[in-house]
Amino acid sequence: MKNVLVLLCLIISCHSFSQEINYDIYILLEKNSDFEVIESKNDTLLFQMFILKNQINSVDKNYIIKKDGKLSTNIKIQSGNTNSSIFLIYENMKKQNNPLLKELKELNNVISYPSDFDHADLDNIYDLLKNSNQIFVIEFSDNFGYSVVKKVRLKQFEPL
Amino acid sequence: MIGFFSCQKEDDTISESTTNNISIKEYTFDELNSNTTFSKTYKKVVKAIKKKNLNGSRSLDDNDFEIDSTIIKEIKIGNITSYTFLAYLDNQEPNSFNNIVIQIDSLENERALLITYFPESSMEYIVDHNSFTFQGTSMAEIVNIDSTAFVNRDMDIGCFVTWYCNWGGSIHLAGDNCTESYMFSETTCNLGGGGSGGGGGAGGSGSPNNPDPINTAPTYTIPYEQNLIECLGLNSVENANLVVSNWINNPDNFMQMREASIYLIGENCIADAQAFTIEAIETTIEGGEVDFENEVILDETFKDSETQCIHNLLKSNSEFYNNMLSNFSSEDARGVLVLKIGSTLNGDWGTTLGSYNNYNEFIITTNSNIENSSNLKRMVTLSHELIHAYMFSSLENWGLIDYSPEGEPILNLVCLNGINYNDLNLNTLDEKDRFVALMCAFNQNTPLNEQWTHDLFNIWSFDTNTYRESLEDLLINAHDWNGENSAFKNEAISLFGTTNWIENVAEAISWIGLENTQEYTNYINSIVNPVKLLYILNIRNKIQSAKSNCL
Repeated sequence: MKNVLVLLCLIISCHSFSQEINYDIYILLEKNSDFEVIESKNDTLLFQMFILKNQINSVDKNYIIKKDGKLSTNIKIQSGNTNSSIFLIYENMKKQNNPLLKELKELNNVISYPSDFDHADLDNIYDLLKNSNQIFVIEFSDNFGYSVVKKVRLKQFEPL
Repeated sequence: MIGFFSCQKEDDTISESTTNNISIKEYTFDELNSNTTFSKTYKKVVKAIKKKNLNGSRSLDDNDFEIDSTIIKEIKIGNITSYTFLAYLDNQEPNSFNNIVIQIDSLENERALLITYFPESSMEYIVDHNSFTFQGTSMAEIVNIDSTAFVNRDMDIGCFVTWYCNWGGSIHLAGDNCTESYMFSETTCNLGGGGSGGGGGAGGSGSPNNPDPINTAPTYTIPYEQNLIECLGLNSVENANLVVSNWINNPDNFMQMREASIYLIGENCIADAQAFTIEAIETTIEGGEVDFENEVILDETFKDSETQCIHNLLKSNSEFYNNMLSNFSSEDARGVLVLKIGSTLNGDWGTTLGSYNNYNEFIITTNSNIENSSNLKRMVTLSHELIHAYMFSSLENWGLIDYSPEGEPILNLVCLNGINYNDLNLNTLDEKDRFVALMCAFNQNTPLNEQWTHDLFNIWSFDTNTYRESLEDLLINAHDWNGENSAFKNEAISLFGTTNWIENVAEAISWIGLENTQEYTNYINSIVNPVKLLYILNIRNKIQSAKSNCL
């Protein structure tokens, strides 16, 4: 609950002042969470795309018994063309964007995935990231309190 | 009395293959009315027919008639000119149509015939020549324009020459689109009936005893206006619509009006077709265009646009696109498709909405920015949205979706608990059950979300391809890849090679809009080369610089 309140305050304040304030955002990928990583590399380029999914379930689900007595699930979903995932791209060309090692407690503006995404509007988080100065992904690590931090960029797909 | 003849073509006609420097032109009545010679004779002929001054067996109580003013055929051979026009007689013979033919020679001798044609088979419309085929019989009656003018003439005046055209494979009534080399004639003479007569040939020189035959290129049209007004009920007080009625009666709209009328006749004037026709006419009045065959309305914003050019190109080059389009006029999933250009929610490249009410209408709006973009961007947007419209139409027909008041579809799916949908044999299911099974399987693998309309792209379409794969094929086959600009082409060739670049780029483009689906994640996960992966992820920007001129 405390985390959610912190996130809400962060979103509101960053959104309100996004035009005036430069800020960085860190996204902590929690252990065993459902994010996906697409990875591809050659001798000079390491490419990773982190896919963070919407944690709000928009499905209206009801259990019903059909005429033949069988239990079934009635699913109702409105269509929508808003973001259902956030795509973050990490590119390291010729080692110019190497990961950093940082102490977690020193970092500000940290959002944890997926816990902070629970019940949070993905479009709102998307705007928060879009208006930030820099975005970093923190790959979980507990090596003496240090974490691997990668500078990433937000990938935007216009709706169609 | 001068003469009467009634001829069966097969008995009394002589086919001619030669022409005689013939010229056939088509005019409206207004255009010819300024021709004083025609006008003077026309008035006499009208008067004669109304006074029953016909030589023949026809017993007429009421000989009033109207002429179709939209098309009058003028035939000139040497210094002889004839005019043929369609007449609607009050006492029309069943299953027939009438022509009045007036012929004037260089000495201003006037002759006229009232010819009744009896088609024996359906008269096929030849679009390119705006004409009809004709097989049947005819009966001609001489119009006594001025009895004194004919009093000394021999009975042998009764041949008329009918001009046909054999261009395009179907013999049809000649008109001004037919060049002389395709024309041929048949001469029909007064071999039967009350008058004497003899054979004759086309265009022979005249003499007092053997006058020049009367030349005609029969004129036919369906009473389109009347059919349209009656079917739409515009002649009743409760359905009166002055704007639509005025449009129907305006001769300038004849071609479109006829198309609407033919469509309604073909649809047996059912209620859905009436609603579509009214909307179609209103769209036309506002400057739009209508594809009656597919029941597609092209809004005035869409008409003559670069996006319409892509639409036309896809209609010509893609079976997949046409299959989807034709769905909207099919009996089992009929509906109206409207194509527009305008602003879209969230700046989408395109949106597709259904109808909250019972009227089965689907509106595709492509963003105004797409109009100024590349052919590939327009092509993928239009095709992507048409897939949505096609799916919505099918799902609505199966009772699997409802619509929000804004027209957004709401999936309403029932999945059985305790069944592994991934193990079902889909080949044993009909199309609807297969769709339900696939969506339930999707939901078991990854719970469905608001992007379900895009998940649908990964189910089978008309064959074993998924819709996404069919879209990829459409792009490969319908787009002019070799005509692409060199910068776009060279970058793709350098990355994917000369043999595979088109397939790879088309595949990447076909995924545009589907990025939030799990299948897209699987797709990009399969790309090993990071440089290719970056290109594919950036495909929207890449096609921005592709060729933009549709024509």
